[in-house]
Amino acid sequence: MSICRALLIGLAWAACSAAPARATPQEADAAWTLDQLMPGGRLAWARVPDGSSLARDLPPALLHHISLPGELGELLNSWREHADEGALQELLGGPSELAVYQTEGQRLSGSAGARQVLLATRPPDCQRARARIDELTAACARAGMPTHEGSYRGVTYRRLGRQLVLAWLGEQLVIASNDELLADAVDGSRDPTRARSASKPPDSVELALALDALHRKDFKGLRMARRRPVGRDALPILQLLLGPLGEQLADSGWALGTLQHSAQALSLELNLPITDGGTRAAASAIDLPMSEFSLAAAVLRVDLGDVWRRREALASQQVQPRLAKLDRSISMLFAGRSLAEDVLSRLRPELALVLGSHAFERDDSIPSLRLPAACLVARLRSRDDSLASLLVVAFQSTLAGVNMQRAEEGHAPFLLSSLPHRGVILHSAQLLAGEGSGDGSPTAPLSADFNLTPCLALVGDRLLLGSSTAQVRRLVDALLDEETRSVRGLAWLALDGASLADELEQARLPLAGRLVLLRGSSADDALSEVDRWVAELRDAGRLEADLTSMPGSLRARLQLQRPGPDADVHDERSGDD
Amino acid sequence: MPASSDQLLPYRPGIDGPFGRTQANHLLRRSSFGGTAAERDALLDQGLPAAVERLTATPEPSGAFADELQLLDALTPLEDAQLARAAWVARMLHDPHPFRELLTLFWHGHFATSIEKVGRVRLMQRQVAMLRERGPGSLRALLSAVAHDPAMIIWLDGNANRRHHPNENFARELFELFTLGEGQYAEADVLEAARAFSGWHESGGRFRFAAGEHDDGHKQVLGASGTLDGEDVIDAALAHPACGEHVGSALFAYLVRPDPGPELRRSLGALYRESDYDTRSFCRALLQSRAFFAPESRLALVRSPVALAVGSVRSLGISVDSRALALAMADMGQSLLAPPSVKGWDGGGAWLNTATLLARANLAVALAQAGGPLGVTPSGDERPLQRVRDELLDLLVDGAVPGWVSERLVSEANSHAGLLAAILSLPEVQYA
Repeated sequence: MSICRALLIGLAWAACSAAPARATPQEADAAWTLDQLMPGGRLAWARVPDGSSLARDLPPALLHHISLPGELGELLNSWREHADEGALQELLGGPSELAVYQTEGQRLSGSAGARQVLLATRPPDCQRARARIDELTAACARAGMPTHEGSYRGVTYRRLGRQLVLAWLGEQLVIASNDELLADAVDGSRDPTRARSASKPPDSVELALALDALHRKDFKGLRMARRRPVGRDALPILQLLLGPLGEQLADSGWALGTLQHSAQALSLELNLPITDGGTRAAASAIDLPMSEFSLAAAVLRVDLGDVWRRREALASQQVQPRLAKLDRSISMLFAGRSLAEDVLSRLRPELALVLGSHAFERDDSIPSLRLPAACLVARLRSRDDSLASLLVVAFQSTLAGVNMQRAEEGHAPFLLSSLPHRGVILHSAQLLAGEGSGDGSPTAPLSADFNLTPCLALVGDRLLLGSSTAQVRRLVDALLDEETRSVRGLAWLALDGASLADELEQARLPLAGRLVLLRGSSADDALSEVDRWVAELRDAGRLEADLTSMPGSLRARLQLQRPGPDADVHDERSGDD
Repeated sequence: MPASSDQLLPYRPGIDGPFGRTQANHLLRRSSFGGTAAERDALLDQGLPAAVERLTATPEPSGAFADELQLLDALTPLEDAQLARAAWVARMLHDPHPFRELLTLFWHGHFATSIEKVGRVRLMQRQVAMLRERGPGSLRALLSAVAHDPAMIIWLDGNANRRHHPNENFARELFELFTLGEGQYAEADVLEAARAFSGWHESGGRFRFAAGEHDDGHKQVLGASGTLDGEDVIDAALAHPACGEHVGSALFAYLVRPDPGPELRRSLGALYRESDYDTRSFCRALLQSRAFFAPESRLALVRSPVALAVGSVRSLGISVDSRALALAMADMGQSLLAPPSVKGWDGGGAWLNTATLLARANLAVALAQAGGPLGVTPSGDERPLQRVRDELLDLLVDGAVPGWVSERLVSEANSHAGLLAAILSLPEVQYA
């Protein structure tokens, strides 16, 4: 199981467990349908049809890559110790359907209404699957969880712990996260008149996914980035940049998704409904400079001037004081001009970030820990000399302030310089090694500060602001030589797994050191783990994600392409279902 | 109570008392933060002299621990104070010879220097490394290294100590805190000593002798006179009778019990001087002294936050997130690399107040909770609760809790985690 596939499966399952579902297709040979089992309240829906390779790959992923919290996690861990590779395969290896919804009632137990999950599956070998259930029950008992067997409307159910209840309906195994839900399922199986929904996600794909917009407001995604702090240290920049995208999402309508994969490629697509005022027209292309040293790149179409003017609406209350302070501070750097009106509004709504491997220009400045270089690429609305001068002034003022701060702390200063390169002036700064540096010991490792050689350059109407002069120089070359990649859409992200793996490998020792610190791992275990990350990243190949405006919806697409001869995504729409 | 000098004589197992599990637990807690039952049993097999010899040995790191240190060193360029603290905590947790770190921690409090003023993480790390290397050896060499240490020079304004404008900060603390104690020197000694250290500067993270700023005139310090420099002042301080008493008593209060009386202080001073100020020899004498095994020394020290956290982890034999543990120590009042003042941490009863007791209870819960805030690895301990209780109470407090408490620990706890949290929160566990 490659990391990319496990990641996607994890994403799909996480999405299901976090949000809503929909109608189910009718199985020709099933005595019931999921639609029958769960009337109303569905929040999310997913299915793995018969013959899908996910039926083969998903159970091992669950066993080895998915970490569940609470009692279910404990049970799974306990089972992992005793179950063999094929255990979950024998339970979940057939067609499966999963729904998430909200319960309210309390018929069989005193459980309160909450987000609940129901999984219906038809195991390939019913007899062996029943034996596995007995194994699971024994594992539950070993873990010290209570077990209970009971009957409801003639159906025998078994409750394991407080979060898992299961029953056989003929050859179908139904697993629910509480008994109220199971009771609903049993009711549904006995009620042929229960209404079916007319709308359903597309069939005949490896995995189809639907999210009900009614509950999507709780979905941890763009809206969270817009409205809520992300963790304790909310990133206001994330709230601001993603806020306009979140605003376009409609509060009603289905989000429909599909997943397809082959041995070398995997593709996940999700169509999100947008508001009437949402973006509809396809955006113009953005030419992104790329060099052979690029590790990753991201593009976001956002009007920074507009975002900054509307920052009070887009960002959470907690970050407003910080944003106000930032506005004052940055304005000072731009000679007292208005950040929104005099600077950001004069940039076109195209923002790109290129992450590249760091090339050091002098041997004596190669730090012990090499970090990737990052460069922001923006575009001026016009070739305006006054804005260009303002940008250079701000760059120099910032570094002057940084030098003051560093002098107070006894750190080496940055030396500013202007270097001509193919007719372009590179305004750059380099650490003045050996002059008042934090540690001048000849045997001491060079500080990670040496990764920073900030640089500003203007190439025509392109503004490049990077952490490494060498990287900016390469990107200037790429722009002048027209080595660019044309990107459409509202947002785009590309990662090169093999190149990132190379970078990660260079930081092998400090990364392993962090594992020793944070997990108490032994040196051998820590190094093995980092090596495993590197191998999996290398195996993951290339990831590309984009967000594109379509008529009536936003299309989010994620594609993974592993290295190898068969690079095409194999569409299995014509497969069996 | 025996005479003071007798209290420092070697404890004779079988004559002065037994050397059983209780004594071995006591020795393990005081010399190694704490340890497991297996480590305790190994001490019993060795016998007292060999056990103390082994516990206080500080050989060059080797094997898996050396590999681990190599990885931790790779983090140094990141210049992150939290990582530096965590790396030190990791050494305390994983060093097979933890006496090295126990003593380093003592000297860190004795020569208290804070990152808050020094500002440079790397310099603080180098100071701790110096204390680690020099700590077990000669006090003279240690004092000299401290006087040359860049972090100490920044901390006590050494760069402001110039020929025509002597700065007294280092000289004053050298006498008052580092060697003699209050009342053992005159103000004139401080002024003259400051002149001797003039020109001992820091530049670019290194010691630099600024010859032009050094006052090479005649000076008189603590009875010594001549064109004294810093090294001569250190020799004069070591020759003063109060030096052995001051530093020896501080080590006694750290390893044995607080507040040795005046008579015992004199005996300690004599013992330290007789060892030629060799700290390891002195500590070995303390750890196998009759005073060490006397009943009034058992559970007589309030465990510092570092000792409590590191000792608990070592005794439980679990793996934790060192960075989170360092933060927990700070919550309990001991932030490594940032002692509150030049006097270091007050220690003793000052470790315990309403805020820090809550933090200690939180630590207990976190250490018992697999996968919780400290990232504790599940122990997989399936032994009966009663057995776990008995072993931990034995290791941590020599079983010295009232019977009804011991019974309720098991009757009230419904899991291993609950039991561990309850035990680690006991008032008795706050002492070593």
